[in-house]
Amino acid sequence: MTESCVSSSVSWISNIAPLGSWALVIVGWAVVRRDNNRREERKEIKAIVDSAIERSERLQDLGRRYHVSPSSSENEQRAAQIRSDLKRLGTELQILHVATAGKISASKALIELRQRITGGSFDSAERQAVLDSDPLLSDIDDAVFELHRALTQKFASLPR
Amino acid sequence: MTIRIASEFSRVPAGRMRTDGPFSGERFRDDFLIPALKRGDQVRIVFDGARGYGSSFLEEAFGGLVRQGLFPVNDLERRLEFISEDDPSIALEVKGYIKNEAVRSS
Repeated sequence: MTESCVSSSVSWISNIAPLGSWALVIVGWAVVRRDNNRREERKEIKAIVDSAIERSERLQDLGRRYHVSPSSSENEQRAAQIRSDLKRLGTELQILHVATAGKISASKALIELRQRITGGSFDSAERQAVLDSDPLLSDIDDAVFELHRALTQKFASLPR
Repeated sequence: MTIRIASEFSRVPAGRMRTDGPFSGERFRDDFLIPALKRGDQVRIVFDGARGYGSSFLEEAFGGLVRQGLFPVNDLERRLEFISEDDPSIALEVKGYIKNEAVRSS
C-alpha cells in the first residue's frame, strides 16, 4: 500500500467517524423506543387481562348467587347482569385476541364459563334453586379458574 | 337473508322455552329461524347489538333446530352464517351446538 493510499484511507475514516457516532445514537434511540413501546403495550394488555379476571370473578359470584336463590325479580335482574357481563367479558377477550395478534385467546374457556352459568335451566320458569353443595357451583368455580389460568399463562408467555 | 337479532327479535333475548318469556330460544327458532330457512338459501344471523346471550337461549335455538329434524345438518352448516364481531365465541358456541346435536342424533 502506498503512502498516499494510507493517508486517503485515514482521511476517509476520520470523515465518517462522526457519522458512526450519530448512527450509534440513532440505533440506541430506536432500541430504547422499541423497548418503551413494548413495555407500554404490555401494560395496556395487562390492564385488560386484569379487568377480564375481575369481571369473571364478579360473574362467579353472580352465577353462584343466581343458582342458589329462588326465582324473584331480584334474581331476574341478576340474570340480566350475568348476560351483560358475559357480553362485556367476550368483548374484552376479543380485544385481547386482536391486540396480541392471537397470542391471547380464551374463547374455549369463555364458552365453558357461559355454559356453566347460563346453560340448562338458566332463565327458565322451571328452574329450582340449588343447594350450596350442588356440583353446578363447583363447575362454575372450575370454569372461572380455567379462564384465569388461560389468561395469565398466555400473558406470561408474551415477549417482554 | 339476514336476521339481526337485536333489531328484529329483541335486544334482550332470554330463556329456553316460550314459557320462560317472550324472547326465548324456542320462539326465535320457530318464528324467525325456521321461516327464514324455508324462504331463503343463505341465512345470516347477526348476534351483535343484543345485551348478551345465555347458553340456554342459544342451545334451544340452534341445537333445537337440529333436534326438530326439518333440515339436514350439512344443509344447515352450509346455509347458516353467524356474525358476532363483538364476541366471536358466540358463533363458535352455536356451531358447537349444531355439531353436538348432529352427533347425538346420528
